[in-house]
Amino acid sequence: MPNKTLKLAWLGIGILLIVTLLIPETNGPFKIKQFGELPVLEGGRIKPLDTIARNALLMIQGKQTIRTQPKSLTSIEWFLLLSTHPEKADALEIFVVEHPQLFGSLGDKYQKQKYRVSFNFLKEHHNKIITQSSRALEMEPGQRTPYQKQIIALNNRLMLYFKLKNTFKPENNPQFTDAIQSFQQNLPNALDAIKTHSQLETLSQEKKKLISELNMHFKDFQMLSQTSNFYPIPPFGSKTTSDWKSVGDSLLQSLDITIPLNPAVMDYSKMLSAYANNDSNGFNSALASHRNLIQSQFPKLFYKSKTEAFFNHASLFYRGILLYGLALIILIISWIKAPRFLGKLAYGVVSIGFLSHTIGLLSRMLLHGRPPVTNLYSSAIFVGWVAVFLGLLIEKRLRNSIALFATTIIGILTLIIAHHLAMSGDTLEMMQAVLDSNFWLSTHVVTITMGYAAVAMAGMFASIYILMGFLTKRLKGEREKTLRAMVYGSIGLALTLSFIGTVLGGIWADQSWGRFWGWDPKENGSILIVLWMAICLHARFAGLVRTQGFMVAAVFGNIVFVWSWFGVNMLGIGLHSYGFMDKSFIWLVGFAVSQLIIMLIGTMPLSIWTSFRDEGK
Amino acid sequence: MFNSIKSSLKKVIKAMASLKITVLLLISLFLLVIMVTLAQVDLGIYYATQRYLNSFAIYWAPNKGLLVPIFPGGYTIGTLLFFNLVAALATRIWLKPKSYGLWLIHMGLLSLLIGSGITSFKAAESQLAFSEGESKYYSESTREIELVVIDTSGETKDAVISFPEALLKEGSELSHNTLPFTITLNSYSTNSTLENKATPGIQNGYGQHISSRPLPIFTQDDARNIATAIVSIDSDNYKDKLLLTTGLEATQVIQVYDTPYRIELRHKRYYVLYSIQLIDFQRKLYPGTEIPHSFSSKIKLNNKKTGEERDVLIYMNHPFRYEGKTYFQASYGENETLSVLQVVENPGWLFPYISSTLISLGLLIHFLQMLIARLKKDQNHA
Amino acid sequence: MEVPSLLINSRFLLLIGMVGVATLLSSCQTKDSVNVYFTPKEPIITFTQLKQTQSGLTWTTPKQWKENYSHTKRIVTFVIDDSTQVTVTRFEGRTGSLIANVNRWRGQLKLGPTRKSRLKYYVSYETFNRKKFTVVKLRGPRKQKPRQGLITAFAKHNNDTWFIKLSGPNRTVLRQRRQFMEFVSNVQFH
Repeated sequence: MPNKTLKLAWLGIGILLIVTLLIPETNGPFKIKQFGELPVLEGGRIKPLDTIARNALLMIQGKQTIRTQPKSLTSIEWFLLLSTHPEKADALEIFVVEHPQLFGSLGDKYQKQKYRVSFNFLKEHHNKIITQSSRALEMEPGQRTPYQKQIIALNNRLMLYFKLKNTFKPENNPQFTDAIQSFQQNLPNALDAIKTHSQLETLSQEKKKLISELNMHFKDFQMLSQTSNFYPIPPFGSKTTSDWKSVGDSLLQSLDITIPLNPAVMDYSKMLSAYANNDSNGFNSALASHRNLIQSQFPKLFYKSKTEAFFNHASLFYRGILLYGLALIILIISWIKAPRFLGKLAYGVVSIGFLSHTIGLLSRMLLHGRPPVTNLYSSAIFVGWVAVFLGLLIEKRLRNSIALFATTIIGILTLIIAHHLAMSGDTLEMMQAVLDSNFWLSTHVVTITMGYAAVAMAGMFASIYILMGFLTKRLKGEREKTLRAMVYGSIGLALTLSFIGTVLGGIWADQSWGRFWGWDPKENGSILIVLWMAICLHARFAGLVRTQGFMVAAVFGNIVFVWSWFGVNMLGIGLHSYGFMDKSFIWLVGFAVSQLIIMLIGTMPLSIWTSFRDEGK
Repeated sequence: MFNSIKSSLKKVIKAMASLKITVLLLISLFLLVIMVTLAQVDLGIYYATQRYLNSFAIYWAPNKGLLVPIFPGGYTIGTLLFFNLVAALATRIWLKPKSYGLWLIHMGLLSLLIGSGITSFKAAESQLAFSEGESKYYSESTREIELVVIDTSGETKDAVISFPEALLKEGSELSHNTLPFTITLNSYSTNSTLENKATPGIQNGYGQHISSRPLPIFTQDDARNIATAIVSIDSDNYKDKLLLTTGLEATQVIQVYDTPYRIELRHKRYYVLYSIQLIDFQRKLYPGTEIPHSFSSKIKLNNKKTGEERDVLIYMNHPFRYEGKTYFQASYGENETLSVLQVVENPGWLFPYISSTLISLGLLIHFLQMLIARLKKDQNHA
Repeated sequence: MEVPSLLINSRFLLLIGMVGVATLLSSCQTKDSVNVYFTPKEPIITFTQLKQTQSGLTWTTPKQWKENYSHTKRIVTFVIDDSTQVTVTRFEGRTGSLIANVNRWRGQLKLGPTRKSRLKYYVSYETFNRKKFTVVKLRGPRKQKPRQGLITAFAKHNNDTWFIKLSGPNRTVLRQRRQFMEFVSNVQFH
């Protein structure tokens, strides 16, 4: 009977997951979803407009939706608003400011650690931002104060915003479609007029007007070509990515009368003016025309772009967090009530979450054409994935819900970390030249990251051992033995993977740079993990520590791991200026403190541990 | 007699093989790596590594001239680990079916320790910077300095006598049996700034126009120091005083017993018996970005000895290995017409490969053995 | 099966120990010892040549002249005696009209300004190595003790104007005139 209920529950959650995937984010007469799927070139790769809008809003606001009345705006809706009604977009309070001294003198409202202001507000203080940030830019990155870092960040947000606003059309020219049309019509005559002018003939008023209009257009186009944030105009007849152009460049190119204006320019222009005039038919038909063109010329790119937009919308990692969280709650309840049934239910929920996690990971790999780990963001996702995967395997064998509990926590934490890391921009960014080697990325980086996952598991298991033993009576007999073995196994696995990963990194370095080891902070971080794991094992063999000490040492492994993972990156920025204002630093310290507390508890004499208290008697 | 030696040897070896020592050494190494990482913030990688790892002890200097060793350096820990490991291999970890994995791991570690010893003593890194069209047959260290005396009397070759940086200290006297004079360093500074002002007491060479002022060492990894020395040259019939600096690419020649000698302070050079010419340097960016996609140098190798003359492309992850040296793309400059190659020579390069193979194999075997034992145990329980 | 006896073990130990110690020892000495080797002949760049490449002007220093580089705004100064010297300077871009320059130098000799029409008495033109030099010769007031004099030769090269100026007591200036003109005729711009 419970088996059937179980299956029904799993099925229900699975169906819920799929249904929520299919509900479009926005609805209405405008086909905004299809608009978001359009491919453009930015940051060296072709991506959908949806990604551009999401990343931009993340960088500016720190969130992907804007809360406005009556209904909130999605990223792509905001982007459309920005391109069609800049004056409305300028009033939205979306710019995140993260330092109280930036505008603190203006009133209490601005003395908070974090608040949001509108573009209009920043425009008033533009001079201050420019002078302060250019002063800050003169400093070495390592020497900048938190205030200076924030002013630079704010200036970058402003520049991004300004460029986005002026990518499709100049913000101060609402009639841009008409302008392009009149430009096209009058171009031959105007050019003719210029030619005759150079032969020193007197010009009629009409011709003078033609020339001055052309001049005006030319200025507009030039500005567009300089301010463009991305390159939306595809090169029909060319497969080279670098041939994608900005709207401005395309228009400038068409000054040469032998080159016809790229139809995409007109399509985009029509889409935007229709959107501005609330003309859904016009918008949809221009959109359809552009989509047809892209579909016929770049079917593969378009497919990729659509897929990426779909995965953006699906936000599989976010779903993963929710499902893991649900499973965690079920697991906690299961300790009090119906352990078998709820344990199984949780196992199923984690499995569905893991499925979502896995599809997200795979789709990233396919879209990027890269192994799973290419940057800090993807390493976080992968650490969680490996941990949950191993957790499910162990759980299947041991069925004690400890492994599941521990690895689900790791899964949630790493996905949350990844979510925050995503704020810094495109997570599918192009690889720096040095790292551009799929072979080494998929061997060295993947092994190292798997090693991280194993260290985290060892640390988490050991924490559970300590807390369970100290706080509850459950750490006894077979359960105590299994948990101990799990910590041992994880540490052994961590040592193996970290060592092999480190060595592979050395070989990569030797292959590329002729030296095996250079003692740079990142290398030191990974050798620290190897050393600590070796210390744990040898100290145990030498009899220097017993099980209790071993557990404490394993928890310390978590600190070593996080240091190697993130702390080292902070070193690169420079410890000096690393203000304690910095959020990630606070989290890092907070985590270390939490682990130290667990270690402290772990060093308490066994006689006061709840699980072992009665043993002496 | 022999037996007593044997038994006391046995005791010593047993004591040396202690696991407790191993743990102590590993913890020391762990702390040392943390220290060196933190020190890099101030000292840069090169100086931090020199101070903490390529040294026998880490000193604390409470007063000038007083050095108190407070922590073992990389050399000490490495050597002790080496002996600890050898002793352990000789007593505890022996080749038997149950511990094949462990034995392999520790043999691999042994090879790693030997390899890193050789690397830290013998490996040399230098840079070769050349513009398009230029040919070079030597590379230069970015940090290490040498004082060279070059006998230029030969018809086709110059004879170079090179005094390494370790000998360059204020007050030290440099001599060599092929030289008719001695060189005394009146002053030496690793970093200095040059001024357009005559150095007092100098009657010859550019010291008549230039003088130097010592500066603290720039430790940042990309910073360059200008080393300067004032030297006295002494022989029976020749006495002179010269200013030498790495900051000027000018030559100073003295005549002693009718032989012209060049005396120079320069970045340590590593000569090769072939020449490398830069044909073309290229940098490619990802479309629409400033992110570099690739750097590459096309070079022409010319080795008269072997008659080789061929073009080679050096780019990221694809260095050029030739006669024990590895050339890889490190930097560029001057509107992408100048390329900088890093040149690494490491006689111990094979050791990490051997040891990583041994250790990885050992870890896998050991881990599998543990897993199988565990599974068997579980089955027996069930 | 028991592990081979300690004897074999200690041999093994000895072997490894020796390998290790030997490699360490052999590697110790090479880095810090004096090295002797032969290299292809390398060009000698004197300090003067270095300064010439840096400044963009090549010259040959006459025998009695002594180079001095301590004046940072000048390319080079040649000291002939305590009061006579030749200076070489370079100015970027516009350097004023001929009359303005002549009057500046007259000022240095404590002479009043002159008129354009009188320039022909001081100024001559010479061409060396296809480079046209303007040569200005001036003498200080007669009552000056000792009477001062100067000869300046200047030419344009690319965007720069180069001034070569001999100044000092008029008697020495006259004595050095041939030497000076020979120096000017030999300079090469690059």
